[in-house]
Amino acid sequence: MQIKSGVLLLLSRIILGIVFLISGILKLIDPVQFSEAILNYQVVGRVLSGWIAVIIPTLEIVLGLGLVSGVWLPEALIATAGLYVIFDVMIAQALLRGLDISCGCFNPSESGPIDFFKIMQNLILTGLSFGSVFLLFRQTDKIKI
Amino acid sequence: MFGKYSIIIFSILTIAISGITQEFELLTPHQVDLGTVMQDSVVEAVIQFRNSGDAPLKISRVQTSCGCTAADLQKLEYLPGEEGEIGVKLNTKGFSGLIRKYVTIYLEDGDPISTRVVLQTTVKSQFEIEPAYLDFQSIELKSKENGRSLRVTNNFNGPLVIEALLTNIKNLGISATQMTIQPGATEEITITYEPLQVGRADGYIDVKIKDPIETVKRIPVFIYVTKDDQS
Amino acid sequence: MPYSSFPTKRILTRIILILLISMVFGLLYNQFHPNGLHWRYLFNFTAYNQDLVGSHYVVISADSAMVLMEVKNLNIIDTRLAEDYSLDHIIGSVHVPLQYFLTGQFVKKLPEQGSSVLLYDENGDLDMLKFTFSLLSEQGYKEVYFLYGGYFSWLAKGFPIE
Repeated sequence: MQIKSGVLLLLSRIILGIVFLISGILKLIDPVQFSEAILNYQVVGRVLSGWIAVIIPTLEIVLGLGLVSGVWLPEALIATAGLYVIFDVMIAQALLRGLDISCGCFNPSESGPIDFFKIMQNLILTGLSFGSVFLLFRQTDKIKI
Repeated sequence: MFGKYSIIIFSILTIAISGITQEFELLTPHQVDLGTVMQDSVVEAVIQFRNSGDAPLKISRVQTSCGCTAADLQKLEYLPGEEGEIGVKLNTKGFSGLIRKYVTIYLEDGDPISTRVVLQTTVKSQFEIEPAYLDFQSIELKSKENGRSLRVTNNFNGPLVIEALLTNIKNLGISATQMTIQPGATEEITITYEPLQVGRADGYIDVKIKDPIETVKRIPVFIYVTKDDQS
Repeated sequence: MPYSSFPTKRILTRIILILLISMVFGLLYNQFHPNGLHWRYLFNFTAYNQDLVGSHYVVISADSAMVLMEVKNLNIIDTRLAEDYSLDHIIGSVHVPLQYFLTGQFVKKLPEQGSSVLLYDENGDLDMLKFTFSLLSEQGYKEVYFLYGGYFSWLAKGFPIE
């Protein structure tokens, strides 16, 4: 049982890591375009969108590296899960408000609207990250919060 | 024996193939005027094109401006001579006046590598507030009575009910805060400003409408107060 | 990795460190990227709160702009993208895209100092206009006008373009 969850954990963190590395690099291609994509969600103003556009791509790459290499794994996994929660909330509010915008989740230059496929994609990755966190901490003897 | 010639044949073929490029021919004009539409409607347009080259055409992506126009592409590869269409839906929710949306079609390789189509439409609102913004930009500190008018016209076929007129500017007087405007009629609201200090004091007036739709229209107010004897 | 007690503090510290590292690298990357967000955009943006002595902007409508063009020798600056400017623009306007203002290149393309300037973008985004204005006023332009509603309002009126 111990070995199985270890393998599962390895698999999920590699997948999450690679997804983050690719999406981070794609976002770095055109920072201005990414900040415009963030503005589309109409949650933050221009300055904050700019800051988010500065931090998120490099954050994804840093987290991706951590996930793939296993360095600072608990922190990387928690941060990954947190980031996905934020993404889900953003998408959810965009849908609720009826905003007809492009996701900008993986590739900021794609123009397709937020469709079922993209929502599923994000939810699966969110689930994977939370599952990994659970698997990781299940391997401990005691957990005191 | 055949080996010697195969190199020559191969080179000739390579040169011949590289001379064939994809040709993207746009059938719809580069600039399309979609006319005047009512607010909150979805305007549809179709961009037609043809592959007038000798090789299959591969579209790598279709990009729309601002991410708020959906482009519907049937498929990505088109044979020589084949025609294709891109369906574009323009959502006018939240927009008013003249708007332009750009659709850029990128090829994987070929000539031209990208083509841009401009879709233009004028969005007509069912109620109009004139002017688009209130201008108090050349008033002196000393002046007390600065009045401007806000005119609201009802283009609906039922009464327009204004529930409130709110502002974030101190010392801005609004003559009426609630009213009902009959269809086709225009009501005038007087706005007055008493300057407090020199400099900019920009803000807005929110017109809260209750019937027949619930919405808020924000009118910017630009205020610039100069010291006396300056302009 | 067994823990005797949950190392919340260590985890939190490391996450904050991750965020800081990302921020630093992100800022550096943007600084050197040709299409990156300039530091001025991020820091200076809302710095225009108080009145810069001697210069202020005036927001005008398309109608007023039309009148002003005839009365004054107005230098019109189009801050939109190159492809938009090449399609059509206000007659007599000069193209200085926003990107130039972000990277500081705009200085080369400015009209004579002390002249009056009309700025316009696509639809009158005041935030960006104010940012552009703060840079212009630093260069000594005292009379700056913003076109309310941007290029679209000019088009809607059917005013001259080229």
